[in-house]
Amino acid sequence: MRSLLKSLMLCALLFTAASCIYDFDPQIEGTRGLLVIEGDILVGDTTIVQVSRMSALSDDAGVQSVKNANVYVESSDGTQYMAVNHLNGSDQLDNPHYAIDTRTVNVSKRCRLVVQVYDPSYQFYASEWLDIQQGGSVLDSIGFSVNEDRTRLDVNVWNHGGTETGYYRWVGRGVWEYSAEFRAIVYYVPALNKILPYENNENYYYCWRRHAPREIMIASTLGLNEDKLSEYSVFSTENKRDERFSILYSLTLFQERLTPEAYAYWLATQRNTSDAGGLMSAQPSDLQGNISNVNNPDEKVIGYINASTVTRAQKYYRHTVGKFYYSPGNGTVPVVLKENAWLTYYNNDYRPLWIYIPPEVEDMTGQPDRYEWAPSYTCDCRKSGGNKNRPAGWPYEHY
Amino acid sequence: MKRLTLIGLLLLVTLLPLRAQRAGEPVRRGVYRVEVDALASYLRDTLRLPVYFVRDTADKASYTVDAEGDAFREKAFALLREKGYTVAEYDGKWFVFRGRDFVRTLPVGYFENRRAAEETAVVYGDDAAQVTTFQNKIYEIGEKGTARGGKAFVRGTVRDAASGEPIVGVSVYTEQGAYSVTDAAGLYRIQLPAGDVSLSFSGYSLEDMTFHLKVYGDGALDVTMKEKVFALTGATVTAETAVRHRSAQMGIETVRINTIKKVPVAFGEPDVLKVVMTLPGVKSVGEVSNGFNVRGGSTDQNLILFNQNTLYNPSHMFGLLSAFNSDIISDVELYKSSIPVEYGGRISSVLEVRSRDGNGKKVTGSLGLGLLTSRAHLEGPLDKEGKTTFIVGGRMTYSNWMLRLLPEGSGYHDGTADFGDVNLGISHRINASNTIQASGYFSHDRFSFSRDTSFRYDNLNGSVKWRSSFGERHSLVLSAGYDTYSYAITDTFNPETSYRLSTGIRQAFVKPVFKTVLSAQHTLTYGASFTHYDLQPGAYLPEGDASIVAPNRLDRERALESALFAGDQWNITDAASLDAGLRYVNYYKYGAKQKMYHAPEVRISGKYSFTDHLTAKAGFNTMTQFIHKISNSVNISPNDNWKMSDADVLPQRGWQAATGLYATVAKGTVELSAEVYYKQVRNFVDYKSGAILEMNPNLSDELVRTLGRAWGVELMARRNMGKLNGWVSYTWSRSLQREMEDRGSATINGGAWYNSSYDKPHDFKMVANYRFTHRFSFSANLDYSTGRPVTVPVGKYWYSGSWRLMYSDRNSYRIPDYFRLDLAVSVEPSHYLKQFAHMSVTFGVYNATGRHNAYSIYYTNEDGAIKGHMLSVFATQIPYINLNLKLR
Repeated sequence: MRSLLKSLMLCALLFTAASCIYDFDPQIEGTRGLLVIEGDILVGDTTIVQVSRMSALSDDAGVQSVKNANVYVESSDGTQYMAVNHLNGSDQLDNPHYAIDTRTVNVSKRCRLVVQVYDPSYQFYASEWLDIQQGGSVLDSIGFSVNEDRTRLDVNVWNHGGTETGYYRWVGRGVWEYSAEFRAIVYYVPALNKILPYENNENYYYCWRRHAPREIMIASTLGLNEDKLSEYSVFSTENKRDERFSILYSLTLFQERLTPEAYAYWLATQRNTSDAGGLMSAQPSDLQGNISNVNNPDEKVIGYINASTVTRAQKYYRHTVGKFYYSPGNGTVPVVLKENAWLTYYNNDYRPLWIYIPPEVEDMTGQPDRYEWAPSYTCDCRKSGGNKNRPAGWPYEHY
Repeated sequence: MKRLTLIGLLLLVTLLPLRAQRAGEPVRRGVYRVEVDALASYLRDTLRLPVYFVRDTADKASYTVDAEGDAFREKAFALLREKGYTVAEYDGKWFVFRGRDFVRTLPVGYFENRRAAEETAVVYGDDAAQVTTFQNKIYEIGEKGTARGGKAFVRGTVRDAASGEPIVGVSVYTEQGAYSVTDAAGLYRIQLPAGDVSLSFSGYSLEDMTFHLKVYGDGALDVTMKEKVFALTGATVTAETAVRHRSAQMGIETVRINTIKKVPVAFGEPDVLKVVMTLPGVKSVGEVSNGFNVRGGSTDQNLILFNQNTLYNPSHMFGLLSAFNSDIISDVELYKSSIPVEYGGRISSVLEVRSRDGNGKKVTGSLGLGLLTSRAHLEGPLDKEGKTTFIVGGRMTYSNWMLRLLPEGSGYHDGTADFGDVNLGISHRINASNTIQASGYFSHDRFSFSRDTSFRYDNLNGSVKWRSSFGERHSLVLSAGYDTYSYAITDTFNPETSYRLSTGIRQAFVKPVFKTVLSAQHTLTYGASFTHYDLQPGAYLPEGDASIVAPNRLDRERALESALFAGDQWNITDAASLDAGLRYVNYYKYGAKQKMYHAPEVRISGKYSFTDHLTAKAGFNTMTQFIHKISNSVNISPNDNWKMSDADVLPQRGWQAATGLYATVAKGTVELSAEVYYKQVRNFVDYKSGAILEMNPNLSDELVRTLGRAWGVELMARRNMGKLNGWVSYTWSRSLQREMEDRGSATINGGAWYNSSYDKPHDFKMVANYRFTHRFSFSANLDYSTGRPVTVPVGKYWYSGSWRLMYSDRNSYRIPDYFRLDLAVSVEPSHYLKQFAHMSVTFGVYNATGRHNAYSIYYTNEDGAIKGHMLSVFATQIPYINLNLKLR
């Protein structure tokens, strides 16, 4: 009787706990085309600005970058700090962006971000004139921690020395190395119908990606006795298949001080993104930014610009130390192909991996007429969106 | 039994006319051959003997008596004795009847025993009342000649015959139109004409009773009523039906605890609030919610009273279960339109949950075992007379233990979720006119899904109520008490930033309510209420020695809300009546942002009965609310914070007009009603986009004032008795809001009307119970409603390394419609009245169709693609079993 009761109760709870989230398509066409401008002015460092347009929820085309804009930071002393347009990404980010050297902006003056867009028509967008936030604490270091059962990874910061408590945001730039599922040691030349070995360090097994961390990293020290954070978790993940932590991740954080209005904007963005729809979630918010079309103030523009002096810190996360990442692979089983099938499979986006060695064969030189092939996404890391642009001074001897 | 038979025979002999029978032919002088009744006639008429005779119709024998004078008598009696008659002499009279012994004296103590059994004590005046249990006697009320103007007031208490508990809601009436209904203490007061009066008592699931009174003057008559032995084929006009047609009040829903226990709910735990949500005009945002919405109002616009205490959080486990222990609940009354003049402080409704008094005759109790909770209660007298009774109940959950059963990787294994509550009630009857009651309630909830963050909230309430009747026309209910609600979240993830954030409410109140019956036409209710609020809007304190969190306490908010009120229940004619009242409210917020507000409130409702079974009503109410719940969560929010009106936050002011038609059909077994309402609320609280509500000293900057309006039609058919009982209702309603100020582009939805979060236009509900036999019954609960409004993403944009969402205008879309069917079968294994314990078992299925009802929808960014998800709280059938053991 007791075990029956236990089973009944467990069933009730499991039913409740296990079967409660389903895919849902609200069939909303949505809105497209609103201008989106991102780029806090990081005085003392490089300001990175991204200009794009909003997409409908159902769009699969990726980020709709605006690539031909004229972007600059304007100081109230009249100086304009012009942006360099990185149409195809840079060492900072893979996405198209504009980089502005704002190391010498006069901190005692107000400044604003200006974006001139020419497509489809000329429009002049500018943020409010902003006081440059100063006097915050200094970012000492960042660190990674993994809990005992390796179910959660935290990125932590340490800072100190602020004159008064306030609001902070950390702008991140991350670059990480990852690998394909299979390391191919040969490649196929369709014109010759031949398979040749890679030479030297040539491979498509290791790739690198550069993106700003997707997490919104903000904090308030208003409730503390001093303007100081120790081992403060700016973001955490419980996604053990997070590619950033698969091999080596270099994270640079730029700590800026926010105005209360900017903090409220980022807090609302954070809530809208990560909390919306839950049992205890606040209602999603319609955000009001501080950038507008100077000639058409009624045009809705997405973005909030903050200006602050910054301090930075960088840290590597090594999977060999943290051991947080876990991926069982996608279960692909390579196929063994003879020469006459190579071209067909190649055209079907398969790639050779290595020479096939039957189990009963003891001669490890293999059978040169048969190779194991697999879909390209399992052996070409570029298919996942990365590239072979290895950062200078990358600590691992991977190429 | 023999004694009763004898008495009955004697009565028959006395009352039945003795008819002379046809005499037979004379045999010779003085000698006759006659039948027995002729013989008796001869004895009585000719010989002048006082003979009383009961004829045996089966006796066809003839008798011949040859004698004269006394000898004739002796011979005749001897013959009768030979034929089996009893001939007995008592007090010079002769009694002749068949086959019974004649007892000349009653047993010793006969009348004393009978008096004790009937608890009959005829005492005139105010000090004590006649306690009536038998209908076949005449009760004399008052002293002769004291009736003024040929009228007299009769008052009394109606109690349960088995437990001695007072019974609420019993209709007391005469065929001539006098009418009253018992209050929460079982008290009634009615004006009757002097002379012979038949006074009837009718209560829900009670045997109807009618007493014959000789009314001489003002007096008292206490009544004990028995629970009705359930008649599977019978039907009775219920007390509620009578109230509906007699009273001018409208928009009142009463639910008895035995109805509540029949409605299938999740996990089988009888749930007061879930049943309230099955009533027309009452909605919720989903299965897990911290409250309910009445006629388009928000959850904080409901005054939830448990006895006389205010419950600020009426739920356990964030709304999964309500805070009320069904074992100690008597009944629930929801006022959603005509709110009595003695209540105020909330815009939408008053929900009054009343607990029972303890059993006044013996100690008894119950035990309930469910999937999530166990509950127990004990009640009984504290003295021999049963003047002082107690009732204590408690509940606890074993969800903690259940979470431990889950696998470690489930994400719930390390969580904790537990709650408990305790109720205590003591009632003391000082004398027939004075009763004092004390009640207490404590509940606590604790939740944690990780090792370093925990939530908890507690209710603690206590109150004392004194009821007194002075004279036949006046009564006083004086209540006073103290309510607290507190919430805390503790986060110890980072030792240096570990904190404890808490909020709380303390509320003290005193409320004298007088009632005076001026005449059969006018009953006055008047009094005052004083409520002192002491809010802690937020305390942010370090947790642990290593924490550098700076202690921060927001300024307490203190205010006094006072009210004077008076209302008259005017019975214009038998068919028409009017309830009119005025309530003057004064509110003073002192300290920071001090401000005084005052407002007169009007309560008026009237009815006209076209027939005994068809009544029309209309009403108009104004209400003011000075305390507001601050919660930006549509669904549940354990950290509900409250805010007092001050110089910046204006009180909510609302009015409601309603009209309705009520009919009783099918020999009084089915009630039909249709109500239409329109209401409007000014200064309805809503929130700016991105509002920061916690620990915000300038909270008013985050709030926006809106104008709210709601209207709707509620149709209902209800059958309270019979094999099949329950109700079916359909509501069509709307609830909209519009920001009252123009804040430019920041104005919510550009200043246009928008759906409130609980605007669900179509709402169909059915609660049905079918009793196959006395042991088996089947229950079904069906709920359909339009999906509630939500704000959904309408676009995505790349920002800060990820896709972000741009949302639509507020509440401009809806989640899918809601449909749920619950089924339950109750088995009561035995009905032996003398059995020590009575056990019942309920098997049920919640959400029998397994429909995936949407609770909310949300979106995630998965590998660069925005995906929509639907959260369903109970996404499949939830079977349950519930065992109940009731001690007798």
